[in-house]
Amino acid sequence: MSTSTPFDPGKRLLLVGDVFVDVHLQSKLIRLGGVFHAARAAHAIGAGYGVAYLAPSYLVAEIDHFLSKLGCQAFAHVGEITGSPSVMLIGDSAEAGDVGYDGILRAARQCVWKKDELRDLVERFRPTDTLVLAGDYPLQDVLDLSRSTGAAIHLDCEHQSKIDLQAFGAPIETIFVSTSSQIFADLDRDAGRVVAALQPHAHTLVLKENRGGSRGLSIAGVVDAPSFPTETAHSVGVGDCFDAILVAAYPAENLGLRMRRASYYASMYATTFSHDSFVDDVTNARRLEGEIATLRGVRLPWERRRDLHVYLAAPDFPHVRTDALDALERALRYHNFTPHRPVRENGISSAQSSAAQETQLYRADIELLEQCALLIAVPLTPDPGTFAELGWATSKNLPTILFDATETVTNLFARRCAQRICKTLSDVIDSTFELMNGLT
Amino acid sequence: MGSTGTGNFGDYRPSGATRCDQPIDAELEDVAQSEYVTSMKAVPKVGALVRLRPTLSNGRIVAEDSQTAKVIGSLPTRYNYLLLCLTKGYGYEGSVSASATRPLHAVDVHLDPI
Repeated sequence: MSTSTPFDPGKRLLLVGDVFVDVHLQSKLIRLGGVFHAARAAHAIGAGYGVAYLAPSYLVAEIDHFLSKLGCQAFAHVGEITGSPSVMLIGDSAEAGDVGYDGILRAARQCVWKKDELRDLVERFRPTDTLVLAGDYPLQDVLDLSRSTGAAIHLDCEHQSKIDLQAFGAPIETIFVSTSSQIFADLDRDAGRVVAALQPHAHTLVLKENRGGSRGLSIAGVVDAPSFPTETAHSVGVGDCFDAILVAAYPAENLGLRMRRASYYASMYATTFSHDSFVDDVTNARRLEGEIATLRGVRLPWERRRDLHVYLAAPDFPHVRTDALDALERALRYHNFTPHRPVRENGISSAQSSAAQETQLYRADIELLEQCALLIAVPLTPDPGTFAELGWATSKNLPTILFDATETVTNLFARRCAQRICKTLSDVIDSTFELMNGLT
Repeated sequence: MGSTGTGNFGDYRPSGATRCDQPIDAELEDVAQSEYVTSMKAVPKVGALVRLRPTLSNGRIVAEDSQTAKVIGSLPTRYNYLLLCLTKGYGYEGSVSASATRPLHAVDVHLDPI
């Protein structure tokens, strides 16, 4: 195992962005978020870094305290937030579907920009690289001041779609964008349109595709990197962690390797809310450079997922509560798969149906099954049809998942038929990516 | 740091064992084309001793037969976290819990941390 450092010790990385209080509703945990995610990553790899942050005044003492504990070399409060407590409610921490960020009083948020504080910080810290987590603040000031020190500029567009890219002037070093971002949604979730819109403005464009991996576009061409599945505790800030790890590497290093490493470290960030555990994992991962270069992960490009049809076998009947099935369908669509609900698409038989009608429905469902790459059985009730379809799919060597949230499926055959048995929606989505990996 | 489950920010430290300390029950992948099946023309019997190889094989974490050191199959990618555990000095040993050749070559393993 390698022991040399993969990070450029000569870099002084300036992180710019909002600080939020992340409230994870499922786990009832609160955490300093926003720019803190990148700060934690920088601390874990021992990078020299500074932070220019925006936050309400009530948080400043805590922010300064924890930035100091995280080894931040220089920091400044460059934007006073008023009207909003900068609290972010997070509904689905693991991002099985839409995370459901809800910024409290976000519409009332105002920013008192302190350009002089930023200028002083830049002059003191002299960054070689500035990682800008775009938000509702004067981006141009950040670019101009960074350029005054010759810093390379890296911009993450995750939370800000209204960016005047023309105002950048010359291309910046890196633009990061994810399939979860508003800018991606604004461009109809079309990867081609996003690339066309952003690539002219950066030497390197990195499109982060959630559990499906990532791609990097530069003058050298396009490179891919997988995601590395893990037991996801949360997906919040994982992208910012990815950014910081990639930016901290040697710029001359192969982009694909930088992306792989960033993806692996980001996966470690997603496994825990404990910073100590994360630092311990990163310390050990520094010895895995050779392994990270070859480790198999999941690479399922965004646009190819649309061709992966998923059959949802379930009692999708009018008298059955289908909340879990609805959520699964939404989550699959969020990740750009094509789910099918045969009852909704082909119809439902009744006591009045003729034999011919039943045969017609049966054949339509079989035809639909044969078009699908995966079957997910969701036995909302003990429905024989759901299990019959599960068995049929298994006999055809189709990948199958049994989504048994309440652990009520005890039948031996049903449990052994399924390739994966999942208890949570997040598990189902993880398994979907894993089983579909390499099918495109 | 800056994480808490209580009334103020603090250093969140969950108690209890880590995932490295958890046993593993997994259905191996790539069994049919594995070194073991290819050379032995059979899957290992239930009860055969197995262990995780401490190094990757073609980018995968693999289980090998303890006697012959032949690879039986790969762990699914969701077990990639074990690479860190192996780096930290953990080893994993156990046995074949199920195996079959029909309808497909399949081997399930149970492994405990050592």
